[in-house]
Amino acid sequence: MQQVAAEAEARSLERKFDIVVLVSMFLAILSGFHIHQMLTAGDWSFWIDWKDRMWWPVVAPIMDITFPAACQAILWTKFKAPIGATFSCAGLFFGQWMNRYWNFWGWTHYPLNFVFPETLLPQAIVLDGVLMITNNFVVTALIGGELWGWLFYPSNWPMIAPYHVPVEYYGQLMSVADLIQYEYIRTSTPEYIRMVETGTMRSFAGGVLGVSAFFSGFCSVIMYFIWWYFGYFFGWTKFVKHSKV
Amino acid sequence: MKKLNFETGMKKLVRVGAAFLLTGLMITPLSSLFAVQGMGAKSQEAFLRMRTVTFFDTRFSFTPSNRVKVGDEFTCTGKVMLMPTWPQEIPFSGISFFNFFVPGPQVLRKAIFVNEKYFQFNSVVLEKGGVYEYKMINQARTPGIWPVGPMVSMEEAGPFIGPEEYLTIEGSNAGFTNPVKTLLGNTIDLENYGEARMIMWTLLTSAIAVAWLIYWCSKPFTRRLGLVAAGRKEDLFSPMDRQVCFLFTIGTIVLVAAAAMITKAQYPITIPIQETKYYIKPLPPEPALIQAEVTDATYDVPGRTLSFHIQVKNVGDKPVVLKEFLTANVRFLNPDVPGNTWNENYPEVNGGPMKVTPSEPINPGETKTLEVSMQSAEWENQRLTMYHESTNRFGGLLFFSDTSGTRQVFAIADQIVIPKFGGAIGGGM
Repeated sequence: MQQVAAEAEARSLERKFDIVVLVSMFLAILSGFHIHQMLTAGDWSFWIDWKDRMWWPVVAPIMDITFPAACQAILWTKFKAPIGATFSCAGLFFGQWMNRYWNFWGWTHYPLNFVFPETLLPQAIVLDGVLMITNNFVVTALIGGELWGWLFYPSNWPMIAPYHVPVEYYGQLMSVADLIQYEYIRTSTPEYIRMVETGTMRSFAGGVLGVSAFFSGFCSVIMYFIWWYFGYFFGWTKFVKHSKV
Repeated sequence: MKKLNFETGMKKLVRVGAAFLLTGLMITPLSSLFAVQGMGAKSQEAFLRMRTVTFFDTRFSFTPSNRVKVGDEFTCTGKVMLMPTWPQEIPFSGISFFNFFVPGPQVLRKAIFVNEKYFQFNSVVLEKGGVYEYKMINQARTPGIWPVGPMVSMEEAGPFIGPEEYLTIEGSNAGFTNPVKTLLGNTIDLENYGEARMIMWTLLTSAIAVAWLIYWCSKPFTRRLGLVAAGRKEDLFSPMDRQVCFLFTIGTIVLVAAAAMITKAQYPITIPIQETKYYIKPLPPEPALIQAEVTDATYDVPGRTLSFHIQVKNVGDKPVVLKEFLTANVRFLNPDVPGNTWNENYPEVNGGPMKVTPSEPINPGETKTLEVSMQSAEWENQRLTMYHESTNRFGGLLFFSDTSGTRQVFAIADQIVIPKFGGAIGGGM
């Protein structure tokens, strides 16, 4: 009876320790990934009028596959837990929403429909799933990385489609997203700073999206490899023999 | 005993320090209530503000009360000149964006017209020496006291800030709407358009991700590190784990594909984000009343006085006077011209009187050398003294007028200034 109680206590303690480890990891990854994302793909993530068909599907996935790959390298090789991508993307998403809700909406009064972040969660689940199914990071890079690029735009299209509805305003044609950026002033961000599709890249399907998605997937594969090794290097573990302790 | 005292003292020091830090952190946000700041034009170099873009004739429709209610529309009108001798040390691309500055979307920019004709939506290409007339129509959105004003941003060169006013927006923005009719015929409210749909999809994808994480994190976690290290990886997965993995992976792909197709059916007509640059011709030149050339300029540091000589030839058929000098949103008026008095509704800073010698009008065909002198504390207040900067040249606009009221704006854009430091001024870096 005493042994049973001791085992129950040990399990309870283990779960509490698990929670401390997971929450700490979540917060650490959240902050690191969030800073990385803001520095590399920030404007594409902040503003609805940057979410175009050419640059957004290229920049955001390539810059955002980094932490998922590194986290997978640690959580898969050390823990065999297929959650690295979802865990990091959930952290990023949580951090982004806190930022948009408190800072952009609550503090500076931007409407949320101007500043909401893109979702990476469907791609992240698929990336984790591919890793677990294949149990091979090279295959995950090739298939998962390509899917990561391809799935980005359709994963977000349900949210951004309404902002591509056309509007005529003072004799000019613009999308709703263009009109929102025009009316809701970003004081020090003039229009010429926007890096969006400029209409010079017609391709096979008649638009730029297919080429962007393919290129994005291709680069994501490479980024996956690079960042997998970052994660592997920084997640290096050394077990010390008992006799040396 | 000494050690104990030292430790006690250190603890007190840490506590006092922590209390100060905490108090500072709590008070810092409140400081914004007492120190409402403008848009930071003074942080830009004097030569940049005086020699690149100059705003004039600026008027706000809300003056003199400077108060509007939420939902009210107001206008800002005026002209802006791109100085003809643009400094070589400041890049010039011409690609510009007319903007209305306000800290965030506290007002809505409903429309901007440039030279009456053009609606400013994309960036435009402007010319050196050109004068452009703008009309900005805005709508009050958020209650508060906000610095507002016109602004032109230029690629590579940066933002150029026009004269500012503090606007008080009264009322409540509860229930504020911003309706717009789309080309598909429906009316939408930009304040929250698409928001519910976006939040639903966000919650749905988040729920799937959370379910995936809960499934794996509900199993012992840190223990896995040891089991993997011990070579017992296969013990960590059950057949159900693999089935769940397949379900989530394939299910997510199917869900995304289905949602994208449903969305495409719901929104069959969409257009890309719009992007272009277009040219705007400047206003036609004003009638020529004078020809002029600045010959020299000095700045008396102890006396805070800018003086320069200008040789003026009257090429019109009526006597001409020099009425005003405007630079970096500071105006200096010539008090010797009848009726040329300061109007409180001017959004610019009142620099004070401009002394013009000789003060008599310049008759048709006559050529005179005028000495223009402006003693003002604003040279220092506005940080417009250039002897600390790498480029010691000044610029601005001179306003000449004949007896019929016809005006000619003359730009000084490239005149070097010799400082007079006086005996009391020491050296420095």
